[in-house]
Amino acid sequence: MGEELSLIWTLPFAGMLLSIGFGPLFAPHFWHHHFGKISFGWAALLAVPFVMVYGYEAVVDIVHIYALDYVPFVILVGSLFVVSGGILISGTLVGRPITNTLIILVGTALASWIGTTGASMLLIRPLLRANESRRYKIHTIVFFIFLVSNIGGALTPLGDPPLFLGFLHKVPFFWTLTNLFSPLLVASATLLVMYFAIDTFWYRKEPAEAKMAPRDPKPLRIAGKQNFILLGAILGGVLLSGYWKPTHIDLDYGALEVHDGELVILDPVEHHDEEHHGGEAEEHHGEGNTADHEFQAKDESGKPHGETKAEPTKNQDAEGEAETELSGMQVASVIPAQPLDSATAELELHGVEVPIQNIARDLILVTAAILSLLLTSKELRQANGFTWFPINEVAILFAGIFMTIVPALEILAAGKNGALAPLIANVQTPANYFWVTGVLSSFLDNAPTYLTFFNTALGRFYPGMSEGSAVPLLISEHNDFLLGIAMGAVFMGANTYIGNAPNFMVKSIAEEAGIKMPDFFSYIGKYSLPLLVPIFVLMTFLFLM
Amino acid sequence: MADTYHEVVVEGPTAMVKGFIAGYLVGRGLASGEIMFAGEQDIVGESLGERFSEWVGLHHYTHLIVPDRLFPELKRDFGKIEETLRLSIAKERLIKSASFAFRYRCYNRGHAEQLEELVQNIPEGIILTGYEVKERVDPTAEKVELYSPTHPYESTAHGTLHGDVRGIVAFHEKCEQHDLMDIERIAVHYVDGDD
Repeated sequence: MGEELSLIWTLPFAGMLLSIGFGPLFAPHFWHHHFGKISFGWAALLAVPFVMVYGYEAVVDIVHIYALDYVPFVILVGSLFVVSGGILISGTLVGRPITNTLIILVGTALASWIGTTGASMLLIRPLLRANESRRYKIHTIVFFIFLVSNIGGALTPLGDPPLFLGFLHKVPFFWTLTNLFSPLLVASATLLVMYFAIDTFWYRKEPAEAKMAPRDPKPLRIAGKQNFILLGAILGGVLLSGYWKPTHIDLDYGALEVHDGELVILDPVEHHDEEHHGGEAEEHHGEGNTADHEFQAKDESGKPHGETKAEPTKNQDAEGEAETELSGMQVASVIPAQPLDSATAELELHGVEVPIQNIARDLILVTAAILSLLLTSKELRQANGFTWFPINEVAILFAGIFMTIVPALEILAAGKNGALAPLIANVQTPANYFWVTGVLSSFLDNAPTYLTFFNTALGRFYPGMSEGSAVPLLISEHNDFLLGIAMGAVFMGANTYIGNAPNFMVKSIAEEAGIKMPDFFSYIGKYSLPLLVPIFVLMTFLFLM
Repeated sequence: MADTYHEVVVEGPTAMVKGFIAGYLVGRGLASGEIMFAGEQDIVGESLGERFSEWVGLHHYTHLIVPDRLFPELKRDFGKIEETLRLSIAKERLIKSASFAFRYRCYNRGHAEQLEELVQNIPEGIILTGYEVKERVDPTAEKVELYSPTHPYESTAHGTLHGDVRGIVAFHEKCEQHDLMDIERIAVHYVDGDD
């Protein structure tokens, strides 16, 4: 399909991203009240003609992206937000340069594990309280946005949404840690030293009353500590989905098992009976069929290995009767020549296979969020300013993004045979990928931008190949390209207020606390261009050349 | 009663003017701020022509704000040092009043009240004109928003403060202390009507 699609199909995607970027900037009240309708409008503008023209193929594409990207994405962002929103830091901090630097350092370190949004929400209010009496504090908020709301999220897929999308698209969990650690270290160390010097300069100019110790200092306290355990559960759930490849799934109606490197689908009724009634299983063989229950085996490339109900296997005779017995259970079907470590079990949903480990991960994440809600007091959440609104925003807007991105991804997957061939041809080196992904991430949301260039790279090197096969090859053969994309998406989100979702949130909270934050262009002109861009140039030479 | 002031444009190196004025005030036992330097007080001074002239190195101009009671003697004394220090009065005009425009935008009712109090409680001799406040309350706005940030409360205001030079300079300084206040430079208005 990607080879047939023209660029006109990508217009709703462009419209969607531009609306998200510039709506809050130029018409904040209108956008606030109508973003749902606008998102729905762009989504419908794509979906209706797309399904009319491409029929079931389009439906499968849409279900695919919703089941494999959108739902896990919203669940991760939502659960991290709920759990980190249950942690409250209280007590007196005094906004001296060393204290501020430490707060930003802690936030930078935390962002990779609780998400840039969670870390920003957790620490922005303590930082504002610490600097209440300071006169010169705009730079502090700006560096907080640079480091806590953006760059700090580089180490794990939990840190920043684009990295989680990469993880969902088969980039290993620890790829970020091993590949982005050095860039993160260079960027954050440089910025922290810079911040300390700038804040020391301004601190010396503060009037005497701003430097006075508070009269009634309160000890520093962290409430809602149980949420740290739940954050661990979220991390565990995500890790589980990356490293657990279930090859034996027991359900009420059947079981999958691996024997001698082959995935064996056991007759569901027999299996059930075998467990409960021992030898009576023989009577029911051949009646149940696992394929009817939407289970099948698939390799990592996403291609099904065998339809269990139709194809005879080496364990079936010519009449199709399954007669083989393994471990005392009746075999309904055997999938041959499947290596043990690559066989996975999946749930099928309208032609889209959802791996069991992903379902397990999502269930763990949802459970962690529910437990956090049950175990954390409402007062604590109120003190954090917690509401459901940000999760609604993510759910609504990303429903539009993921709908409209479908044709763009199809075109990119077609590589040089697709309508975006000029993009693929012109973005050539890892440094190109870094800057193009980065500059676009500065003005559009970085998650879909990452996904776009991730697919651009896959389309360039492995056109037509499934993700399961192409991503490991991309990492082993062209790792710098993925590095450039990830660095661009995560680091350059700091370039503008609209580069990453927490940026605007931090700006908004700071403004309500009486800080006159720079406007959109002043932020770029006074801070991003002189402070961040030279660091990005340095990083290009250090890591991508 | 408020002083009347003269704007005195002195031609010559600024450092030399500053040195002369500092010595002049000490010598006469006057406070250091009696004669003000327009640039230091954020008073609009140089014209475009003067700036260009300075930029290309043709002339240097320093704008002084001098109380009427000191002006005759200062003018005389500048005449005395013209030859030795090469400082001369290029222009002088009698000032009628001064003014500056301000605006603010804030997202917290407490801050809005503070700012309103600041511009309403002005000292005697200063007048507030064109003061307009707009408040916007959005009950749907939340405390934390990621993609559609808007504030539950927003107050914007603008206006202009007029008065005698000394009072306006002092109040301009006071407004400058408030982070949320956007203030323009002080404009002086001349008796001869040509601003």
